[in-house]
Amino acid sequence: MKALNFLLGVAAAVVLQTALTRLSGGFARYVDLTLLPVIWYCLRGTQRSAMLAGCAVGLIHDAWFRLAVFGMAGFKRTLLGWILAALGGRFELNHGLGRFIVGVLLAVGDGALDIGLRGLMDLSQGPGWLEMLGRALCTGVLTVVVFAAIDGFRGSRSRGRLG
Amino acid sequence: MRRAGQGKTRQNAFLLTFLLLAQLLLMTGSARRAAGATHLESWTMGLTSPLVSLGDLIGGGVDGLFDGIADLVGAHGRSSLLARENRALRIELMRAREAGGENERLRQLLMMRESLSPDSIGASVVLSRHTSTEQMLILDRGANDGVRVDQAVVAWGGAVGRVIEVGATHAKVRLLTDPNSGIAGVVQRGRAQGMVQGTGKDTLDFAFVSRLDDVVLNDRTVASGAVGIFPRGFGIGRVSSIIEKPNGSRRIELVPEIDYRTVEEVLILLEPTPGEWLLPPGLVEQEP
Repeated sequence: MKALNFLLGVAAAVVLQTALTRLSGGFARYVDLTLLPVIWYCLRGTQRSAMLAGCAVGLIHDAWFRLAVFGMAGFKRTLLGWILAALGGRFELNHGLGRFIVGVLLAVGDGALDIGLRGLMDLSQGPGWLEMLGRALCTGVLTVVVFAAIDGFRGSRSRGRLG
Repeated sequence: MRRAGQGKTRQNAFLLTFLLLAQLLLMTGSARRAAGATHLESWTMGLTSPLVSLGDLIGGGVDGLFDGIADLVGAHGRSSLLARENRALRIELMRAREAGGENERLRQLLMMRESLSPDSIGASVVLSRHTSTEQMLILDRGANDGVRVDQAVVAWGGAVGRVIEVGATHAKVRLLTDPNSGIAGVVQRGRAQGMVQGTGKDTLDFAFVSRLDDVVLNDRTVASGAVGIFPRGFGIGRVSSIIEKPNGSRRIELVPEIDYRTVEEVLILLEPTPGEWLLPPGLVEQEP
């Protein structure tokens, strides 16, 4: 059941990101929905599940949404999943502010690693600081909204069962 | 209990090391275009292509819904009968426009294909992504259709980009506007030669042009065919600004002839083809 949920979460993120890219390419520049499964497992799963989620969405992201060398997003997100899940295990971050912080940290870490890896591989420059800031804020806000929506949905479903 | 926790931590560290090393190898293989990395990418694309198709379908549907809502809001305030009739007509008109537009685009592509060579295939854009670091398209044609890496992709009006990755059913195209893109160009009027480079924005840089060469605003730049994969004569862009620098050099900026954000159908040149002086409809060719 856990594996199925994992696959469904990753699949939903990919479908929604594609739909968003089709609808508004400009907005999709700042919003990366494929980061959400990683954040989810950082806050509510184990370090291992966060790493695997980062690896899976990273490789899919590399295949469909990137031109840079294959494996780069997978590498970044595996590492970030591991670090942020360790942070999530040590501190209580599963509340509004904590989710916002984890979202921002993941987006900033992703951008910073992108700049570093691109520099090492002699590729074009990574995203600018303004673009990174925009992405970080969008990811933070999106994390808070999506987690609240999922919690609300789960709450209403369990209330319905009890009632 | 503590030992079990330590064991878990150690297992996680092993898994992390394994995953990171595997992906480092993938990155190295991908940079060298090793078969293993390419196959894994192709396999990933094949496995997840239904998800992307579904997302594309949903995005298109929602887009259509927004259009419908905008039409409904516009029709508000009129009598219900007229509004209904209007709505039906608008939907019909939208369909006709869409079909007409598609028809026109396909007709132009067909004309272009006939003027080029039979060794080209049409493809539709599945996904396009435009960021400051990457400008790309994903097409619905792949290795099964004869698409290979380094083939040129063109549309009515000029060059679009080049194929850089090929899956069984999809191909990834690096647009001319991508910061890692470069193509040899020549000004059609004055024959000034240079290198057209992507900027990650909606414009292109025309670099390495001699200061003595005659370049003016609105000059049309085409592929020179000297270096690279594009046949001679494919339109690239028009000179939109020339900035004189204090060190004596110039910065020449081009506006691409094609709006890469809205391109929906393209041609992939399967064989190197002698180019034509292709112009978008309504434009008069400049005398060389």
